Amino acid sequence: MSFRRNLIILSIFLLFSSIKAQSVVTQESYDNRFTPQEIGLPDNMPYVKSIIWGKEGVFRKLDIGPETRIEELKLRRKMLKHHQWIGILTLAGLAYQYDVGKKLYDGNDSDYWDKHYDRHKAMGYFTYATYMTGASLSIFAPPARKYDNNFSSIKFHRTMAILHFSAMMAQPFLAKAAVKDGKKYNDLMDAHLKAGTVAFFALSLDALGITFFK
Amino acid sequence: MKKLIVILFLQSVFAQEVSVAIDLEESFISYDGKHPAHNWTGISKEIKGSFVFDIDNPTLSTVDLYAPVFSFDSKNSNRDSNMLDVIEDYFYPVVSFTSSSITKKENQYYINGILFFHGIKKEMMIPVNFNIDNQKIIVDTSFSISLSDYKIKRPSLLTIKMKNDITIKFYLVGLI
Repeated sequence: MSFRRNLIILSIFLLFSSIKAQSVVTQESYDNRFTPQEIGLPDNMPYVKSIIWGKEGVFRKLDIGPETRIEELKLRRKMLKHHQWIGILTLAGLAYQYDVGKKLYDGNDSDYWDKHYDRHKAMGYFTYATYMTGASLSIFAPPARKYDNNFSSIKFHRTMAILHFSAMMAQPFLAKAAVKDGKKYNDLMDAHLKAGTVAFFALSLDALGITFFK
Repeated sequence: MKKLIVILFLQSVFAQEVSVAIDLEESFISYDGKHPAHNWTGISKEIKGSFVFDIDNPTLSTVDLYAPVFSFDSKNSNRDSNMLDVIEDYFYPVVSFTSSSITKKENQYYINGILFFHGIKKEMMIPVNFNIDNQKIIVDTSFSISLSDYKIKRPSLLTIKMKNDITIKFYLVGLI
């Protein structure tokens, strides 16, 4: 009897000790911590991204894109890597275009014109194509894991993108219109140069911002 | 048997081993990432797990803590997303540390244990400092790890990869 009573007391004591030393986390959450959770779409998706990739987005309705969110994230990573490379290439092309374009616009040297006009035109198509390819890779990339409203280099990048995207869109149309319409040639070429200047400097500033800002 | 109960009872009464409730307002775990163009810090305040502290003999204390990698915030969601991509949080959602022993060498405590990150376990010996102030215990440590040791592909910016080593800081405030 005495032994039994002692055993009960010992059991109560051991239970008490166990409770005292118990961790602050429940066993259930301990066991589940390494279990991956299903990854859904992020909150605060930018408007354009939600139109394309939101739950009711165009790509969802057309059944375009990978089958799982994990595959989407892997695709996004690939697309944005190419976006960076193409961005560098485009910036180099625009630097050349800005320099040559300004000399063509300002100068009266017919030799320079003869040598560089066709090259400038060809490079115009090239930089336009690379720019739009790079922009498409970013715009159509599946959504990231997170979006926030902090002012950061990525927010700066998106703001500057509106500027250089608009300027780049206008560039070939202004040049073509200038060539077609002789009466407005000077005005349209002036606008073409200004748009080119905005595109080049906005993209340069953007590259600096995304590189050096936090 | 009676003697045993008395011993255990006294041990229970005087034992100084206590579960520490982590103050999530003040505690954090952070990493410092470096790139030739800029540095940044990602912080998580979502520390979970257990911390059992022995006041009389801190070497008998135990820690088993973890933080969801998604919770690290560097104030730039694009960078956080890139880090999550390379850490593959959809497969490995947490970074955790579980102690196996605590040693003291020349007035410096070291926690030995396993760091589990990106699905890889590595034995670590981490120097820690701790202070007890009334009912609070403050533990802090700082140590470096290499991303390549955990088979993490480093993200790059304008084709330049971030540095391989990251510094992890741990600041834990507990209520005892």
